[in-house]
Amino acid sequence: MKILIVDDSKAMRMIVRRTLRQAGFEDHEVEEAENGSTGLDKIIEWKPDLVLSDWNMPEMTGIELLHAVRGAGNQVLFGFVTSERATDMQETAAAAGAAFLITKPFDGDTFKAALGAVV
Amino acid sequence: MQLTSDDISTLTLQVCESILGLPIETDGPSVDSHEVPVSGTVWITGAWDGAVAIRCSRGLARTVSGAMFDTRPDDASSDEIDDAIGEIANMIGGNIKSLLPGPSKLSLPSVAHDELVADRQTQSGQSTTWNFVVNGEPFAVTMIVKSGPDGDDSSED
Repeated sequence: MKILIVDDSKAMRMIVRRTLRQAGFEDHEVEEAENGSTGLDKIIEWKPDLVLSDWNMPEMTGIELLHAVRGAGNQVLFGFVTSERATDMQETAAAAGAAFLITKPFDGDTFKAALGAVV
Repeated sequence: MQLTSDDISTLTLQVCESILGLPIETDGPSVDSHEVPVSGTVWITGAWDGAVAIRCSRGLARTVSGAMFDTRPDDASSDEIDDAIGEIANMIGGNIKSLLPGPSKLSLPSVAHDELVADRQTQSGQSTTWNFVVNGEPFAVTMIVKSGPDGDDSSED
């Protein structure tokens, strides 16, 4: 599986990589993008099977990225990894086509539960 | 929903333990501003207006960066420290935001290494600080409230 991590924090991208390994997803290809705009370019170019995206980012937010992806007819599996845990955010994410929303902070078990349900 | 000290302690504990793997004690002592010159701040605007700021020593900032980047604290670059501190502010601020009246928006984090910057932010509204000890060093979480029309600051203490 090809997994794209989209987050403006390099530290968080590293933590998501580590947590994927802890959750048992160590044998997958992982690429990164630093905001929604470069994330969109990467989705078009690399065609990942799963996108893990932050919400708040410069250039293009995660929800804007998801709207752009779905607007182009791309049904790639998409989930948010974000500190935004409010109910209205979760509803907005689901309505836009996100399969799940993992809230920060998280651990390997959180990832296993969220990704295991959809992968 | 009213935010409580237990809420702040719980989410700060979760961030330190699950993301940083650093020991944390709640109910830490108040410290002078110069002891915690590094700050990371996010602003919340909408149904609730204000900011959440974290503050720590330069040494703890390096330790946090090392924990997140999986490097030695002494090897942390200034960009890595800003990234790490900003992300911690984002996590704590984002979680606090979910407990406040909504809808509201969370800003991108900003990081400063000068206590005067953090002091000015704290003085920009009504503030409440919770003090912790993380990895043996002071760590503070401050909520700065811009009072609404009814003066509600949405925190119990």
